[in-house]
Amino acid sequence: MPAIWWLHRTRGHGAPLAVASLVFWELNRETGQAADRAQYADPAWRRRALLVGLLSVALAAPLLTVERKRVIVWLDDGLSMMTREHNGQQRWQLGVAQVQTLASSQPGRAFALRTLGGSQAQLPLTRLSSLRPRAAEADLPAIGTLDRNSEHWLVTDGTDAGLATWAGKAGIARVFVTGSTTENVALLALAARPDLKTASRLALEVNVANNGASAATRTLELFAGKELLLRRTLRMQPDEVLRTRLDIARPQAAIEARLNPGDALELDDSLTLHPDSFRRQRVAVSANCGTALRKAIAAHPQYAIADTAGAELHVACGAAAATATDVAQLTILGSGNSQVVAADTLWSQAAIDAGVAVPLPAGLRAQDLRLAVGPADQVLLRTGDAPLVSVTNAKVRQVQTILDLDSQAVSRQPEFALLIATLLDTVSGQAQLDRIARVAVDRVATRIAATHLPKTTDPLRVRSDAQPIDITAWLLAAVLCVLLWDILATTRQSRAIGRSEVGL
Amino acid sequence: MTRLPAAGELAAFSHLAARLLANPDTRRPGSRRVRGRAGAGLEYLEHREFRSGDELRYVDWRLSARLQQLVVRETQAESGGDWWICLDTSSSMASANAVKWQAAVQCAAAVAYALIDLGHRVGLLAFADDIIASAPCGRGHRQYALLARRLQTLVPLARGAASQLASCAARIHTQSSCFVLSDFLRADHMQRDMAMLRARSVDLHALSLACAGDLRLPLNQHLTLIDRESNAQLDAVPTAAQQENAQHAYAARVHALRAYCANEAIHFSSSDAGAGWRGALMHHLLRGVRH
Repeated sequence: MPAIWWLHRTRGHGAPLAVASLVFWELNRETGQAADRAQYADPAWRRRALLVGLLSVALAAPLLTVERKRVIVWLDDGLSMMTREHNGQQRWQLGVAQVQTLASSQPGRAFALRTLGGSQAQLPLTRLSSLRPRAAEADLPAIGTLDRNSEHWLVTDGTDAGLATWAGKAGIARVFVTGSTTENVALLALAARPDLKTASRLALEVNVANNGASAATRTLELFAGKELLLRRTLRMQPDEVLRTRLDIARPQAAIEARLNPGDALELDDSLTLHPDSFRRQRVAVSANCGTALRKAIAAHPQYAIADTAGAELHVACGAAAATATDVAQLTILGSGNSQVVAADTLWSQAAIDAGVAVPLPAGLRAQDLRLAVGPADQVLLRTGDAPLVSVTNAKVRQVQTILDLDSQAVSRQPEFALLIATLLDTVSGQAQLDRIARVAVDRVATRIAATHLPKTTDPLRVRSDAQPIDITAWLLAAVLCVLLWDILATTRQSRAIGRSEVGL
Repeated sequence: MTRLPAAGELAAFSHLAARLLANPDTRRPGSRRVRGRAGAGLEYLEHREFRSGDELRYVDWRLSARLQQLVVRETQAESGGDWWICLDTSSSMASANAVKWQAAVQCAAAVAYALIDLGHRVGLLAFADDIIASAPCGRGHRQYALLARRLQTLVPLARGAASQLASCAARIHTQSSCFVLSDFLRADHMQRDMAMLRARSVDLHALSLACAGDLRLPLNQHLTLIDRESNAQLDAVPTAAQQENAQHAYAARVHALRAYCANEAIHFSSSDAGAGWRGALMHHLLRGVRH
């Protein structure tokens, strides 16, 4: 730079320009920036210096490394990511591999991981192998929870209907799509309902949906344990849902529905009902309980009298009925003397809210006792101020009553069985009379066709972006621009002087 | 060749100039339309001190003896006076596309026409380092035609010709009046030359023609400025501030020249050459004459 300045400083006179009088400019010489050759260099030296500087830098072939923001990779963990592609790999596995490829292609750049349906915590990439998809469609996180100081990338299969909109609003910089399979027939639901007339039978229902884009044929098989209950061929059009119903004897083993042959998403090709979900509740009834009570329990389609060992509910009767500590228990206190309760016997608001307020048998009798109600207890039925039924909402539910359930007059009424069922339901904490056992998957989650794809990015291009950029061409272009600028400025200067020189 | 004003324009200007010059102050030659024959007047006007260049025949010897100093007796002219138009043809008039020169030539033609129309005798002295062209005083339209032809043939030298107004002083005789058209850009304001001319003329008018282009240079460029008249050189990098300083200096110079002329009874005005000959002359008649 000094050399360039010096060369311009020591060059000859400036462009000659005739003026009417030097007087006014000589006055300036004393106070202004005179063209003293010892002090002055042609202002054009700056352009030439810029030109030489740019050219020098360009010849050095510099590489530009752009400082990039930290990347948060959003991994779609919806059920559809479990789809197995034609190459035998699951979409989830492909997505994980893509993330690892992206991370390794940009060394030195910080990466963090989040899943669409996971917690809001950012995970390190080392946790990638420990993550698994969820059994439901991904829940898209709120836009405001995204870190604005990071760049967001998304790895998805594009099956979520709201994903494209979400990606646009969330400012997702890059979207990588994994998976291309579109055909899937899914078992949507398997349900078992007890037959209200015959407690030993169940009504089964199986829902199968064709979520693919073309017609499909599957064989539906129902098993109870190893026993084949049903085999049926289903021919379904795209988006068609078929329901299959079947009455079976209540099995002791699990009920399983299968679709053959299996398809890309294995998770929805079979559904299993665990036997606990549809078997009758085992109730141990103490020996001093009345016959009417036993018959009422035995008649219930969802309760069965069983031994104390393995019972899920206990029914204890008598004045000093023992209280089990680890099993829910209905305690029917007795004194031997009972009398008809007053007409103002009412279910409490808590009972009404819990749905256990059933019609009471006429002539209901209560023991000549005072039911002790603790501060943690809840009164369900009372006559006047006297509580008749109370419940203790402890870890193990305890229901106590002073109702006389051995009364012949009462037990003959249809409301008696209903009252017993209600008391047992209160003990078990669940209405058992029409309990439907059901296992299902979200139909949206079983769609595997990428119909809602945001704008995608080729991972290969990302890899090339990560390389330092050679800016030699840009610098050479800048050199040309400065050169052009210098030529134009010099030409304009010459023209301006020429105009000033025009005389007669 | 500079285009001179058309006859209609000149006639209109002459009529207007005559009205503007219809001043009660009849002592100023040229202010009245003359219809008599040529020659000095007989009617007494005033006495004044003898000045260099006065003809001895006008000395009032009796009064001079009584006052012990030379006194001249002035009479009121009753016929047309002699007017010399002193036109600056120095190189500075050629600057900035010769705007000043074209305006000066057109002004000279218009003044000549108006004065001739008023009955005066008008001559031309084109000066630079010396008198480079002249036309003797004459009267009538033929004289104007002669002056016009002479004006159209004149061109200022592009370089090296300085303004020596003093050279005109030797060519005019007393009892004449002068109308100087110049840019007055000489370093000494041409004041000494103006004093010499004033001493030899009855009445002296000075019209300074300015051009903004003279003070406008390409900025921030290394230039070697060459004075058109003296060929002196100056390396400079004109800046906006310097240009503004130059404009201030020029304004101060005009102000000083105006003050000097007011003190010396010289009718002075300064006009922008770009405004045209009519604007410059009307401004001079309205301000320079009545000042």
